Amino acid sequence: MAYYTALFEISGLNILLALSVFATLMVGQFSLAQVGFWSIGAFVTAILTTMHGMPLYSALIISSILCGFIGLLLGYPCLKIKGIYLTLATVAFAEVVRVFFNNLNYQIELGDRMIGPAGALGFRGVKVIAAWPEIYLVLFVIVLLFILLASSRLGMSINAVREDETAAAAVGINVTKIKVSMFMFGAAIAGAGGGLYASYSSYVLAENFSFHMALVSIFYVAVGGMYTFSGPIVGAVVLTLLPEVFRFAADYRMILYGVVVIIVVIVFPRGIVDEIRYRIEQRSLRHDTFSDNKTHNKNKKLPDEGIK
Amino acid sequence: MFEVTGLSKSFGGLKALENLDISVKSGEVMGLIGPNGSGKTTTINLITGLLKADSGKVQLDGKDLTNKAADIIAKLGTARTFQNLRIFSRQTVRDNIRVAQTTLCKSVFSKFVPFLTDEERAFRSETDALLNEFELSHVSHKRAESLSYGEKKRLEMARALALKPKILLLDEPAAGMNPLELDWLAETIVGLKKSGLAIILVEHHMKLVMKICDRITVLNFGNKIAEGNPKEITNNKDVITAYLGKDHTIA
Repeated sequence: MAYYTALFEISGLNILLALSVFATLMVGQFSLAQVGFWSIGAFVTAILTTMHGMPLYSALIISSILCGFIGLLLGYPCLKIKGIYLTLATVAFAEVVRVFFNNLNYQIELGDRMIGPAGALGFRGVKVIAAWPEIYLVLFVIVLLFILLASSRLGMSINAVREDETAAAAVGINVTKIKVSMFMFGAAIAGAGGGLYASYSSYVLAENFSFHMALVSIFYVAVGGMYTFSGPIVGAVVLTLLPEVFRFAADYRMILYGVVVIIVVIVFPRGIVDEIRYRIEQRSLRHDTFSDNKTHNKNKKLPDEGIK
Repeated sequence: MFEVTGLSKSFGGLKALENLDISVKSGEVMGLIGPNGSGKTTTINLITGLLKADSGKVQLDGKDLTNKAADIIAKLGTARTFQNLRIFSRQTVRDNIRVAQTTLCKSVFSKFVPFLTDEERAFRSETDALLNEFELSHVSHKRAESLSYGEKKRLEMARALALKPKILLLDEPAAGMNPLELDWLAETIVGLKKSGLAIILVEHHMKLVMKICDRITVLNFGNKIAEGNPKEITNNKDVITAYLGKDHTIA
């Protein structure tokens, strides 16, 4: 039972990571910095809860806000660069964060021992105060925000920026503001997610938030689909559970994992959710065309009939 | 009153536009014509903030628009269409129009929880009216990418009008339209003009330009070579030279 609970919890954490990547992808920015924000969130939350006795949710909110602010500082100059260069800059940021926490030595005496980040040894003995209820409460709030975003005019503006920045500006959308805000939003999600991770796992090591994790975070979105927020959720769950399914293969399971990922990407080139959505849409479109033909004479009102 | 004075732009050594003056009153259609590369689209891009002018001024009803950011210029009442269609193809036709209304939202709530506000109801009826006017009602729920070329062109115009602009800049709206669609376009532009909109029309389709423009400005190599009503322009020697070359004699 504990095994399934753990899977459930890790899925939740991975969904948070995937959503944070998705937030920046929503405005067409491909960022690998989320791992850096995740790392900042993990350490800051761990320091606040374990060393300063702060309650979990206050610590998470502070981590989120801090990451959002750093997102602003990073996102604003990064607007000037595009495509692969932006990705490289965000990788550099994640590396800076990793090296920083790898060297951070800040301990205080608590009870009879020293506690706090100890350089490359990491932060041991973080207070464990998060399990699935906490993780899924935060996830619920964030998903709610995404739902709100999807149904709002702000969400439409975000989609417009993703599709065509020039046209978006021409209809009065402040492209800079939207891009930076979404970068901050993504950073804030990673901040909260990292905080939950630290409070869940009791041990935070900067080395864990490496380039590998950044790549996996992109996988979640690529496999699930990057057009609606349900994509990264599905992607994160599938890729979290997949290695578990292949447990029987012992040391070879990552090979099977790789094969399945390749197959999924070939079968669902738009990502699982978006591909299914697309197929359904195509089917109903075909149906539409068919029924249009039947009622052709009654309903058609195109300019070629209306004018002269 | 929309006024451009002394607008200049060069790309490196190339003078794309030199000292251009245009003024358009509301309820007037100004044609902007000239051979390829004469600076027509550059002019529109300068006015709408996609390019920064080297010198000169752009004013709308006394408000200065010169070198402001593109979104601010749009908010101040300048809308445009693009030579190569730029619609939001993955969004529905209705959402393409709705997204342009967002800048008109007065309350913050309209942006976040539109379904809770009264403002949204007004926007909704405006959207319906635009969809009707541009004959897009029957495809309003479809993704813009699935539309025909003519429908996409109409959608782009409808989206520009959703901004409730004071001046509309049309960059080759007739390109690729069939004769029947052209008639529709002419009627629509005349209708918009009658409703008090100022319009700048960049177009290569001379029949259309001569038919609906009140005044025409002719550009050649970034310089204004003529301005006047369609009749004056048709008979202007410089214009004929620019289009057809020097040794051409009129039969």
